Amino acid sequence: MNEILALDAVAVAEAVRGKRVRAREVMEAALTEIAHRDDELNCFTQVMLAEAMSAADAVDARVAAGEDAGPLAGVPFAAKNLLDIAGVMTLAGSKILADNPAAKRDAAVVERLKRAGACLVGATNMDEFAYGFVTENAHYGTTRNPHDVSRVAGGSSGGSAAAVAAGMVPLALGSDTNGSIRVPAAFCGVYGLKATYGRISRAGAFLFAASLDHVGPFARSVRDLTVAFDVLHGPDSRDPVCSKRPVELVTPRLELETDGLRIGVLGGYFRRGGQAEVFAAVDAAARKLGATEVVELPNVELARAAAFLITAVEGGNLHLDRLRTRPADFDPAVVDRLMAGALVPASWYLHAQRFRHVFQERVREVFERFDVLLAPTTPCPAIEVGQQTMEFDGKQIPARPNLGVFTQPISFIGLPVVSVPVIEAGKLPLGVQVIGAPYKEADVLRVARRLEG
Amino acid sequence: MEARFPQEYVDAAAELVGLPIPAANAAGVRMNLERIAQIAAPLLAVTIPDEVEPAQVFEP
Repeated sequence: MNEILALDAVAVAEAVRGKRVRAREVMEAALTEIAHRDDELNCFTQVMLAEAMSAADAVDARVAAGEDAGPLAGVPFAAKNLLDIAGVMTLAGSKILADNPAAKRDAAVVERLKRAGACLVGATNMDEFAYGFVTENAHYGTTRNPHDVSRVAGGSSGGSAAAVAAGMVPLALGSDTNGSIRVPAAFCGVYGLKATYGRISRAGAFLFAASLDHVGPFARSVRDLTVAFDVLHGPDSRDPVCSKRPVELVTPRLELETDGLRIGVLGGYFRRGGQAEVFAAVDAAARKLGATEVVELPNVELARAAAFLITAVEGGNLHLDRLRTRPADFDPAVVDRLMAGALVPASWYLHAQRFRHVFQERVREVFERFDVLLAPTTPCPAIEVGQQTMEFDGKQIPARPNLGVFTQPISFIGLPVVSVPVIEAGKLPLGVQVIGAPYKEADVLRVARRLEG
Repeated sequence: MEARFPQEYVDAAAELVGLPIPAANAAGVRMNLERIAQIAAPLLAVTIPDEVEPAQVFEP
């Protein structure tokens, strides 16, 4: 791999701003790497060669003119193909939407990264309509895990996670409804941030289950994730649920000591239903942070059930017209679940929505005693491509729906989470969720930074 | 396990919603509804106080 591609985004931007490397050279390196490896990995559904080069040239021109080219000057990035890119069809992993007109305007997050100097390379593969944890897509193929190409990258933002893990780009955007940033981040061994619900604008994202949808970044370092958060968050009138809270930059606080933070390890539900190594990874993180107290969240199973119901119903409703008119054009992995979701009684759905407040109150009490909570990201490392079941406690259980068992209850109430990669030589990567109270992204990023060192 | 979604419900709901279920999807849709019902059952058994509102626009 080209040595430029080994740099993280902050280092790339520093080198570009310092005229030690041109954005054009960085982009050429990224595009060359993609050309070499993407036939095998299948991270990208579209690479925008001309646009990427002209964006890089524009950054070089700004640097040459002595202008501020931004904190992400010349950093190549990729966007999950449910995010609008002006002039490109927003596929959301589907064949059906390929008939739509091209997007007129970039999604807010794409716009904000570009404004910070980052250069869009292309759009990445995903589970159709974001309804999956594996990125095995019937229309656009399977995204392979760069650590072991016989395994999945995770999903639904698998293309973005794998592109970052493979070194094609230092930064990528994904979305997370029940774990779709955190699961692929863990499987691919990269950092993923799901900020507080509403903190990062979803304008221009093709949503899935609007009550639960988040968008956010992947990166290979915590400082990159932090710069991305600083650039991405803040009010946006284009997204009806976007928080009006002012921007609170985390980068200036990233290196602050974490000694004052009360860190707990989630027990009970979060210590069951996974392989021993995922709990060992959490324990190792806890030791490093000096966290000894185990805490249980009440009714986690019910939170997961409610998230499952809300997802099914909102997904089914969103796609109802397409389910009526083009059922055969959906991915078979998705269509039956969406149809079923369209038929669920309304009272069940509202019960789940009301339970969200109940669970939120109970978790809020836990955050009176703790600032940060640790849990595994997934119950196992990346599964094999095509794998349907996994052995647990001597029993075969369905693998795919269980990949989100530890992520789903957390996003249900919109808490900010960083999935921190755990990579040991000779082993597949795992992830540890660093979970914070609402709007406390600074806490989770600081703890993630401490784990990184 | 007792079926929670009898075929009559599926047929009637599909008709009401205006969603024809192709023969190729019928078994899968039914199976998914059963899965949803199974997962939802313990949640639906919880009594939620009257004053708790749904969280459609959710503020964490």
